Amino acid sequence: MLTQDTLELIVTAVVYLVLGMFLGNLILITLGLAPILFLSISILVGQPTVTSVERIGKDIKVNVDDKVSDSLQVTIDGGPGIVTVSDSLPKSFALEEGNNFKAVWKGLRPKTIDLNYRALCAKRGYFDVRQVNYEVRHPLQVSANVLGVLNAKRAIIVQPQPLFVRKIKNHKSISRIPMPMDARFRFGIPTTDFKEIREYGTGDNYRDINWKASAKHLSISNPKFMVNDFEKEGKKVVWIFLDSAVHMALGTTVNNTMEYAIRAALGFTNFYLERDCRVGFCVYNHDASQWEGPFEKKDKQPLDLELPGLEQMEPEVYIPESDEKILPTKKHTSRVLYPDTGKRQQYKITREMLHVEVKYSNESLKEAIHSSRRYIVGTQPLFVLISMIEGARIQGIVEGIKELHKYMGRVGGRPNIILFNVQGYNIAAQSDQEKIAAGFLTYHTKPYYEFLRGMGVTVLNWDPIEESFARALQRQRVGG
Amino acid sequence: MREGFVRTMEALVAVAATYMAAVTMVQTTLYNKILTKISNSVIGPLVQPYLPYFNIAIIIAVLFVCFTFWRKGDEVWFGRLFSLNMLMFFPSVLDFSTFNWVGLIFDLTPTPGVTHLWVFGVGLLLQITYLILRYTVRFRYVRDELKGRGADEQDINDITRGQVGYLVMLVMITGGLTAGIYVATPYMTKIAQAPLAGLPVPHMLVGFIVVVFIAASMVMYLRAGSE
Repeated sequence: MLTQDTLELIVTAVVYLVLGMFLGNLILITLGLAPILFLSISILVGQPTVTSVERIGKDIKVNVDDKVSDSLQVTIDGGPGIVTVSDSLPKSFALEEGNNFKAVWKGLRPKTIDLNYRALCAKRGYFDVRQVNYEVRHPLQVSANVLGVLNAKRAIIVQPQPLFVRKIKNHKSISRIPMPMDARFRFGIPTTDFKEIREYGTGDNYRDINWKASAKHLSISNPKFMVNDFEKEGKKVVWIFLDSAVHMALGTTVNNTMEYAIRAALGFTNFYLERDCRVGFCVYNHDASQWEGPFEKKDKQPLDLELPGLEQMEPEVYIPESDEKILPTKKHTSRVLYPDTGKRQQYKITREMLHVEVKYSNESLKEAIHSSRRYIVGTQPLFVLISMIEGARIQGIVEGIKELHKYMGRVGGRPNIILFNVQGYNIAAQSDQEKIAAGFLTYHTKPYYEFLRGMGVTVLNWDPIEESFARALQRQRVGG
Repeated sequence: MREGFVRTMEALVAVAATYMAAVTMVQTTLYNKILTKISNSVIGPLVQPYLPYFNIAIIIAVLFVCFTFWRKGDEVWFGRLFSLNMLMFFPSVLDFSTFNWVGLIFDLTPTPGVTHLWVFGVGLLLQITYLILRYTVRFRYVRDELKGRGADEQDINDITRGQVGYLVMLVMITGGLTAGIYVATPYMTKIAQAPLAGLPVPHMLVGFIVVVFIAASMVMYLRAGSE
């Protein structure tokens, strides 16, 4: 397809020819041929074509703030011209080295473009890096530019980095971070659910020795017996509730309250899973408390009873069929991973975390607890609520805590609830003035902490900018 | 190839074309007629001592205008430069026209100071200048665009070098072919005269063949475009 610009050249040629004929001038007629010859040759020579693209990088799993490298080889054939190639990077990737965009001049010979770059993965998620966009231009842009996309698939899984709390020593004796009520029972009744093969320890039953595994193990180096370990029955349950309300987006796209809350949630997950707890995970939306309704059975079907002898008393009314479709009512989306233990659960929670975004759930805390109640009843779990407490907007949390009280026991008269408050104002603050304002806002919420503590909740405050996750927990241990 | 080189090339081409157009203009019948009219007018005695310098003054003035237009450096001003050059070139074309309408109106007998080959050469130079300036402006736009998109400076320079090389090559081929056609036309006319003389109404027949050929080319092109 010729461009508008090219048509102007043709018009110029026609003007020359017509003027030449009008004046009977061979010079003008011949000069009028020049633009036509020029265009004809440039069209005949043609423009480049992008034939293939090959991505060198393979599928990879990295942590947040890790760097990934990638290389692309793009092959170009055809005539001369300009070719631009760009590898589409996810928005949260920051280019560190090289360039994911390249523009080259393609001469008469075939050419290969090498694209090398290194990018920082600033945000968690599953990223399908696939599209390689290219643009081919005629050297003089005589014909329209050709835009195209080639596929060269690569999956990059960016995992959130958990915040480890290994620095707290002897937490069972001195830490005030609550453990589930059943945590004090070290040996529960083993179930038939196989957990792992581990080395024999004092107190293990001889019947649990796995003789085949022990024989293999003994023949290698370490002269220790191996025993089969089984899951203990229904003990030590921890529920982690993560808020995905809009206020969790405070900060930038990459560095916001939500990201810190997710890292804290993973920190808690690791902490309790390492201590043989069964960890359940649920995402809720604090904002949903504003429109939550009574707990009723959904999709009530009208009764359709055929009772003999019972006839309709009112005359039947004709209802015309309407074209309007009845819109489905808004369904509550439960984002719950039921309690389980071991690395499998850790993997499941981590995988879920990859997809968690603001407004990920549309259930309030109360509704989320209600949805999970069948798995809570009968256990005496520890509840960890991760949210951001905002002054005058704690009604949803209060309602949720009241709901939790129905399902839980008490340790020394205190309910087993941790409210982990990620103080997001500082994350959003950039300038000194904003930091002062953030300080005021944080101070403004302090009375609400006392109110919540009055309900028996352990409120843990964490300012991610000022202190580490581990220090926030240590401060709780020291300060009470 | 840096942008400075492209600008220098534009300046050289523009100045050369304007100079040649101006030099050709001052040797045309129409221009001389106008000068004669001025010298015979009321202000004639006043300007008579300066007439020998008039041609040089005009050439210097148009070169200055050309330089000003080049400094503006965009498509619109290059278009104006082309119009100015064509305006200066037109009187020389009239001298070699079969139907010299202006000459008929003003009762002019063509007495050009240059040959038809010279006029054709200048005309070709103007065409080439038009094509070169038209595309070098675009090359600079492409540079800016690629720079804005984050392309490497070296890659951009390579692209400009490639584009300028391509343009110069294309313009040279076009110029060569056009000149070849102009030079060969009298011989082709002679060769074609004998066989065409035997045909009934040769002008209409040749015209019909040419129209059919153009129409067929257009249809083929449009079909190829739609595919």
